[in-house]
Amino acid sequence: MRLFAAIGREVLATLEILGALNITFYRVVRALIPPRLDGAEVWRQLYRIGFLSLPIVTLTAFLVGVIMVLQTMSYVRATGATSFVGSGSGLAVLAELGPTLIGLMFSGRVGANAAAELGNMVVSEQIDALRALAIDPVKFLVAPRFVAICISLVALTLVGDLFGIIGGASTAHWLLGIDWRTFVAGLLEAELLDAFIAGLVKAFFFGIVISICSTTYGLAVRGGARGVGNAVNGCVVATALGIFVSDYIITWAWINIVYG
Amino acid sequence: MTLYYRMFELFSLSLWSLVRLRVKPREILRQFYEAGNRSVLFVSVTMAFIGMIGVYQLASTMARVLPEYSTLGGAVLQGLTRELGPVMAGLLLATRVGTGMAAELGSMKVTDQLEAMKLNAVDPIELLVLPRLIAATLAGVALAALGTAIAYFVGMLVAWFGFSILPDTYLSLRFVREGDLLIGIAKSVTFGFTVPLVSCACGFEADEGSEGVGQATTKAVVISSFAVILLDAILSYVGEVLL
Repeated sequence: MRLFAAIGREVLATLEILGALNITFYRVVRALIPPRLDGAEVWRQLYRIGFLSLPIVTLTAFLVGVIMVLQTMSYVRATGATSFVGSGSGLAVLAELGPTLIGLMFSGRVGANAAAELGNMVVSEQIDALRALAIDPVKFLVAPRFVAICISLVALTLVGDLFGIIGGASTAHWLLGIDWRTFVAGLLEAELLDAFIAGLVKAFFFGIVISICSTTYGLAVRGGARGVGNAVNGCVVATALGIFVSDYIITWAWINIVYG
Repeated sequence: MTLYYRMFELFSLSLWSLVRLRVKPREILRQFYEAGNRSVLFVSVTMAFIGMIGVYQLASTMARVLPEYSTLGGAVLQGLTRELGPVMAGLLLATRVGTGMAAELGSMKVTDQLEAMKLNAVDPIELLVLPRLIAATLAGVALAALGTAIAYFVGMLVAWFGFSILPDTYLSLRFVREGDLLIGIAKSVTFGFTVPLVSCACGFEADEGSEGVGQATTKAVVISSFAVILLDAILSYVGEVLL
């Protein structure tokens, strides 16, 4: 019996969180339908969220390129096809690991930060103060972050793709002694336009997941400093799950539409 | 810079307590339960999706480039063993366990519990940091192994039902050498040790007030995830050169 009680509790808690996420998403979409956004706030968030994440995202993307070239190298050694270095690592960076790892780093830097920030506003009763002034916190705080996070993540993935390929090409050249031209030829031969577009679509959906999770967990904080820490913890866990689930769905849809 | 100094300090002091055998088995078990058992569901679900994604990508690429699947299973297993298994387990550890540690130690710091411990002649390194380091390292290796297995077998189901590749063809060990296993274990030990070290240091460096804990938690997940990716690149290169 206790086992069933425990399972039931977990299921109910999960459903409760899913419901809360959906309600936030619905309210954000409602707030954006006649697009009346606070322009200054969106620009401020774009600078804080997008521009200031540039160093960590470019470094991550560069390292993803390095790792993927080192990884494909073992297949190349088995088969002897050096042109596979460019195409294999290019596909992985553009379509799969690039967006996913950039999304995870972005969720750590921006999503966790938004959850902590909104959580502090709840704990210090600033959200209640906004409500008392008849300002809707969803419209004023959540919607600008939602827009800024989605735009920034797509733009950062675009920059990250470039740095990932630079990282891969320089690893292939300097560490493994493969000619630049072989790498680039392999990359071009593979016709990765659809992979590139799929990566950007993924980034957009990851942006939705990150912004909805972080703001929902942030606004649901209860009880002081400990509560803020727990909200950040819950937020990154939920975001990571959401990223991989949506990654699978988009990969499945992309492969079925393009090649199906 | 104080954070990196703090990491170094925690590392050397924990090593010193370990050398003097000031280990607390009960505390290690408790932390192992917290970091290991309670992450099992999260890691299993995430790694199942990673296995599905990986097999889907690889199988559809193989269908275009070389229309036969005999190398699929072996390639998936090799990639999981030396790359994706340890790295994803490390990132998930940073996400779930690292943030938890930073939040817990940070709120202890903010409410002056660390000072209270010192006043009672209890060493916070012995009681808090060393058990977390040992437990998370063990949990990291265990979760990486579990995650690799789950991703591989869920991938088998996708290959079977999505691409009609029979398990007989899929289940093969022929690409995995001892070197790959060695790289995988080295990576998961390194990540399992780095994540709690970074997170504990972030918790100890938390600023006063309710903002401090949130910031420490955020910092912990960013720095430890980045450390995992950076160390992965370095270890992949070392493995490539040595093996």
